[in-house]
Amino acid sequence: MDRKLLDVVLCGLLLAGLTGFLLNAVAIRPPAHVYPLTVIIITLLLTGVACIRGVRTLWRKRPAIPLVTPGSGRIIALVMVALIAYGALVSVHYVVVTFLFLVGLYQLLAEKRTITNLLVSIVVAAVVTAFIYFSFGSWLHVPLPGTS
Amino acid sequence: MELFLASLTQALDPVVLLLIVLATALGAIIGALPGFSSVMAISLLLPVVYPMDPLLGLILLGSIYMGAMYGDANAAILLNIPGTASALPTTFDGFPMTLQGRAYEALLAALCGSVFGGAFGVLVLMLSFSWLAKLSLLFGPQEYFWLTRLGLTTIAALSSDNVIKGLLGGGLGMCISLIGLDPYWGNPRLTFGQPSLVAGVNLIPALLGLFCVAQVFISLEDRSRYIATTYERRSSALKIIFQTMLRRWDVMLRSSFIGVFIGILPGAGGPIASTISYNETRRWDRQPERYGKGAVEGVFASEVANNSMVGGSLIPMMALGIPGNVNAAVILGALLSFGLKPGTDLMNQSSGIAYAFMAGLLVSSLVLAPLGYFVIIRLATLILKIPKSLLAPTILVFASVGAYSITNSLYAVVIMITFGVAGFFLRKVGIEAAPIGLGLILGPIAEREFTSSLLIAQANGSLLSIVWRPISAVLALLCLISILTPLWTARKNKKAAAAAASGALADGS
Repeated sequence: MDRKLLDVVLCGLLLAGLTGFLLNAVAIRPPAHVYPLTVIIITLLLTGVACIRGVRTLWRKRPAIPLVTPGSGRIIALVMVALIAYGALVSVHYVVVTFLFLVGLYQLLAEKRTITNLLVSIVVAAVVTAFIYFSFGSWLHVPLPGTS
Repeated sequence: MELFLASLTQALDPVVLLLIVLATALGAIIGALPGFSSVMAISLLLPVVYPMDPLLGLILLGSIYMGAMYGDANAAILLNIPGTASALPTTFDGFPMTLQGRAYEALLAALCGSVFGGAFGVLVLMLSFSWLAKLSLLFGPQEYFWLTRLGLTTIAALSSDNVIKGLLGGGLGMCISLIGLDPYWGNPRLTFGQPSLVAGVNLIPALLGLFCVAQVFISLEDRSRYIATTYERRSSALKIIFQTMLRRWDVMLRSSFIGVFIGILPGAGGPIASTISYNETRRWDRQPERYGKGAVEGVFASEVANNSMVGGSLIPMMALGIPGNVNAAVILGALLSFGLKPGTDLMNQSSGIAYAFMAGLLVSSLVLAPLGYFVIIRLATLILKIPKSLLAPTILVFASVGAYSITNSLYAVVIMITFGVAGFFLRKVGIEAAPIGLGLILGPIAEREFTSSLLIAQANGSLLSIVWRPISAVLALLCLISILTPLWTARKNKKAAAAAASGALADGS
């Protein structure tokens, strides 16, 4: 995706979100509405200016600027998806999901996928998971999801 | 003087000294972990200190507080992760220094700055705490509001490359901080009917997302094996840092005074201290354009203020019983549980304990120097030797558990991931994490003080009372100068660049 296009898309999304904020803020009972309305209106104006600038840049037919360094987009997208999946599944059992997430990502990011690398990934993931489990779960009494 | 020497002797007792070393080290380690705050570190040991001797218990808590305020600089410098909100300005120059292979220099600067600031703050606490506490009472909501505004003007200074995007980021952070209950009526606002949003957006998970998760995505773009491709551990680095401290004595003293001064104001706290200190250091520098690109003075400014604030925050707590921040409030709780009453009682009847506690804090701030140099920095820099393929997923897991532990709820993890993904795309279009973070941190404080100021103004029948008070007027003027200076500098640089370009063209023709 072109960075200039993303600029316009994000500005548009921000405009929509901030307009929603503004419509909600209008309903705030006075005098508590003064500060939120001021902040939202100023931010909305700044977003408008940024949008106009973005559209003007997009209009000028300059060469496209890639969003990420060529070749890294797939890795970043996969890590993002893995993190979102981790957030969704961690409630099942913290220790198991964290261990699998770590092994999976270590392997995904590894330069070479060899048996040695896989073993290193498993050992490091086990150490990190155990450290978190004992420090947070046992010592700090943080109720880790699915472990109580 | 006799009382001071007697207190120092008490603090240097082998058992007490060992306790100080262990507590300071523990604080530094906990502070370095993403999502862990000094409050958590102190609260964690509260059950341990209750059965202890009051002096030992107080020194233990104070030393942890001192250590944690230093520890958060390590993650800020090496990984661009501010462990606490106070360490946010440390990332502005600390992380660029790491990317330039100057991590060791940055870590030493943070250590020396922390030791200097910490010792300075405690010395001020020992020498002048009763009259400084009275001074803090001169500050009302109007002054706090302008003080927060002054902190927010850093956004303009930080975004001289693209002022609109910088201000937009700050505004966005402030808008997000509006979600939740309004501080006036206590009604939910901007929640769009979502019960989970009534409590607002928790700051720490949001900061972890913006700085930590987004930074992991950014680092994956670069296919190099390690975070920093070069890491130089020059033996002369310490000498250079000392020379810089002597040469830039103005930065050290100004940041120390700012830290102590903000510290004594109840409710202001570390984030405002480090942000204002960074902003002022940049504003008074002859080459402000160096900041945000690896200026060592930026690290000094943030860390000196951050740590001198520790002594400052204990001044109103010990003299008036008003805690300067949450850390001081927890220590106040311990003080009361030991049967000690803050105020004149503490200074008269229990002055031995009060001064020995302050002497213990002084020793703790000095102990940081060898502890940091021989242990913490050596351990922290090991991070740079871990391949990114192992480090990036581990950071994500630590950030997630750090976010989760704030509220023991997966909602915090969802906030962290959302801010991480959004932060990555926003950075791609030039809206940096720093202004959003500043807006998130300072926005709620600004609103709280503005609402109180507005109530007072309505009672007085004049809105001018928000500005028309001696200290408020000075702070409002400083805000104006702070906003106009970077704009004026940018305009001057633009003119100079245009003149240079036209000169080159004329020479060419």
